[in-house]
Amino acid sequence: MRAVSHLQLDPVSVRRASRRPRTSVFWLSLPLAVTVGLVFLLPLTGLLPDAGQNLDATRQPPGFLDGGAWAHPLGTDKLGQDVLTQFVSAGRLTIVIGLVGALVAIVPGTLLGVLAGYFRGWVDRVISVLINAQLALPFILVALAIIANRGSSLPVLFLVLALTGWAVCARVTRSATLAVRERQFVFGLRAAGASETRIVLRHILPNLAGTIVALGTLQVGTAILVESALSFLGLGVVPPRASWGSMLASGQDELSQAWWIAFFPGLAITLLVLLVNLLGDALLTHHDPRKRRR
Amino acid sequence: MSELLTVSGLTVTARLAADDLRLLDAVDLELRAGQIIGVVGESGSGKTTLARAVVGLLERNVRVDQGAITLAGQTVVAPGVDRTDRIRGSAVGMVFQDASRSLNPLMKVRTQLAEVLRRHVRDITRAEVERRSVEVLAQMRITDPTRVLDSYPHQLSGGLRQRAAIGLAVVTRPALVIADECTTALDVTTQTKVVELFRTLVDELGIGLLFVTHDLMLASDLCDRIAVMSRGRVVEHGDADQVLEQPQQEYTRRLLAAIPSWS
Amino acid sequence: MKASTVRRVGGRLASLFASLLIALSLAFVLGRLSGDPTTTILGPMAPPEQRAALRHELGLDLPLVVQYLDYLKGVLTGDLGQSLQFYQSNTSMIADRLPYTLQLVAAGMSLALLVGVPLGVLAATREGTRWDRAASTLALLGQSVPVFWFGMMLVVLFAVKLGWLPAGQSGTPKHLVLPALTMSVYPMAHIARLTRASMSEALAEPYIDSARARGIAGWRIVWRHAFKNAMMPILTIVVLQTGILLSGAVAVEYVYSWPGLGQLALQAIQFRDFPLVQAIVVFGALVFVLLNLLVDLVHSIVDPRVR
Repeated sequence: MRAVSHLQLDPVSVRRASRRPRTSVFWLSLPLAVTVGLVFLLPLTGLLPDAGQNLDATRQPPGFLDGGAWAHPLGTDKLGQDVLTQFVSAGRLTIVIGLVGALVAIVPGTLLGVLAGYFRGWVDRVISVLINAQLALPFILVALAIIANRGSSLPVLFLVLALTGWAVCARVTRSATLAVRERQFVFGLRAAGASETRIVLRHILPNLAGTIVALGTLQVGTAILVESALSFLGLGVVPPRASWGSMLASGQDELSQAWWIAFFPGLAITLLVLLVNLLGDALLTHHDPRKRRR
Repeated sequence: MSELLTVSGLTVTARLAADDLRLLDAVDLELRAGQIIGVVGESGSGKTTLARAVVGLLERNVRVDQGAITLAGQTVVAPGVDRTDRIRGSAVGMVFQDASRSLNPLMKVRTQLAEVLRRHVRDITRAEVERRSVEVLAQMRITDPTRVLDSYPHQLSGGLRQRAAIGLAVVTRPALVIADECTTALDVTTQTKVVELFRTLVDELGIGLLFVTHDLMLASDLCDRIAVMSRGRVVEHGDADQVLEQPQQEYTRRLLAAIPSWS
Repeated sequence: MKASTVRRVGGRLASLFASLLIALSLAFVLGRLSGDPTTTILGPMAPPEQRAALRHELGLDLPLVVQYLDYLKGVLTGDLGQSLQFYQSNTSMIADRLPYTLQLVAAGMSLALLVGVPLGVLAATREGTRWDRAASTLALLGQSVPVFWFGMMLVVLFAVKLGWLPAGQSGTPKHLVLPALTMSVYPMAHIARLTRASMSEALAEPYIDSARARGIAGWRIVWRHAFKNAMMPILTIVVLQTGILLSGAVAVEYVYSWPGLGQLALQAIQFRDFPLVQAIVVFGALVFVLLNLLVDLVHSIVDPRVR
């Protein structure tokens, strides 16, 4: 037992010390890294069943169910194609879309957010109105309209992810920038005659790095969910490419006969996004002392 | 005259993730009705923990290990015993540091007073609630009680808010009032008025007042007796004049030396 | 009313109006970028004279500025144009489908509130305990699951395997159960998370300790003192989520063949019926702005400080 010391002993600090959540970023990153590794490395091992059609073995249940065979651990679809093999290759595309989709939203979002927060004035007003206008539009409809207009392709999908994701990033970065801007050292730098560009690039941005990384992580989850919804509606990833979302679309027609086609990709999306969200939350808590208490 | 509040050998520990932390270490204290005791110390000395222990508002991870608190002869706090729910708001009233934040911002002063009265006075009539609300605000030297009753906290000045908060603590006519740093957030003029108000309340109503502050000068103006706390212990305890004129402990001397006009 | 209040309300209205105008303009641009609608209507083989006639009839030969002003005038008078696909007024088609979506959103939102708020309050009042972790993880799970997939699995379980409930279409209360349940997942999770954050902040406020010190206890503290103060962000998110669901419940309606606005939007897009797409986007933006005003109004009723 420690004796009472110089420690701040007001009840609030006692409470905080006892309740700080110890969610380790490491333990959340590990399963994510394993998933990514498996999805990218499994095809190289040659362990996966053959990807071809086999009309003699259509709609086979997974190996662990009655009537299933371990030759197809997750069963087969209506053309007798192995679900696991599809699942792994679709997973690759899903993860790539999640990462790139987050990047294309976070880069312009952060940039605009920092500009608005740092320069205030009319820059801020214009950007804020844009943010609100974006948030005022039912985003899924905007996405649908753009896709209907331009057709389904990966670049269009990224355009949609950028357009639907930037506003949230911009709003958060803007308020974070406002907070950093008011700190003493920024006044000091300005008084010392540092240029605005230098202050933003060398001092504001590094201070926001944690928040931006956390935001980007959360955005990966959002991108995967948006992609899966669009692909499910036949407007995102379309054949011959496949993602977990588009597997759900093909599984939708088979629900009554072969539910496993839709089950595993959906479960995979859920778990992946859950892990990403947990990681994002942990990072955000880590970097936002105000939130640490919660 | 018998003691109103007795704290004897009170030892309180916070259980933290890494370690246990002793917040109060064998604290002894007595207070009679009609008397004011000042509990003085730096932040982290345990004075607020003491105040909160009396009304049972310790954090969940904080536990009473030894000793007891008795109020008018009844044990209310002891290891494994917590009867503070019987006295909280009725026999003991508490005033907090920041009055503007200790009133619910979404409720009129009238509603908040009525809530406390209905909670503690059985079968009280609407007219009686109104009468006692006006009465207590008048006791707080508020010249226009009805206006204050009809106001939301944000519509009142800092001084009025603090008076309303004190009113809320004494409207149930408690025997003991605990004031935890309740003048810290006020400007000096308002501070003086609040201190005067406390003095008259104690004299008129015969309550006992436990006045927690870090301000030794303020305590010396107001209090009959003073307990100086440091690191969870009462290091010095006696009549106000005696503690100020002839401090027995090095710690108290250093506290006194820190006040410009005193050295 | 104080001058500061007037200024605040004015500023708020102005910014909402600006957002709306931008949203409307964006919808207009999206509509114009969609290529020549005469191809959609007449097919690619139609002779140029016939096209020109149709363009004239649709007002597409007018200068863009005139078209834009006409469009804005239409929005003001409730005329959202004509569908290329159904040869009907878009406004009346939206009005036909709206009740179905409203029904779904109302049921889903009620469920989300009934579960989400207590879940969040439970987590906040037991902060740091196992209850809190369980409730918080459940809420995060609700934000991580693709809702339409959740809906599909409900169909497999309750319609295909157990045969308890219909798998799609609308009509009886039984038909509403699965779609409403599916619809509620995301807002429920959102509400639970926000309630927890907001309540835990409110419970840490000094006036809560003060109320406790006055002998107020238990549910009265939680609901009357803390929850009332924590309510505004929750209310905001409820209203805004409602706005999003009203026009954005495409995937859920698709899973259950629910004849609401979302299905209409999907049909419109599949047939490249841009006037209809545009009309639905405009409708969504209008609903959003109106709901925003509603939030402000309710805020001023609940909180005396912003009156």
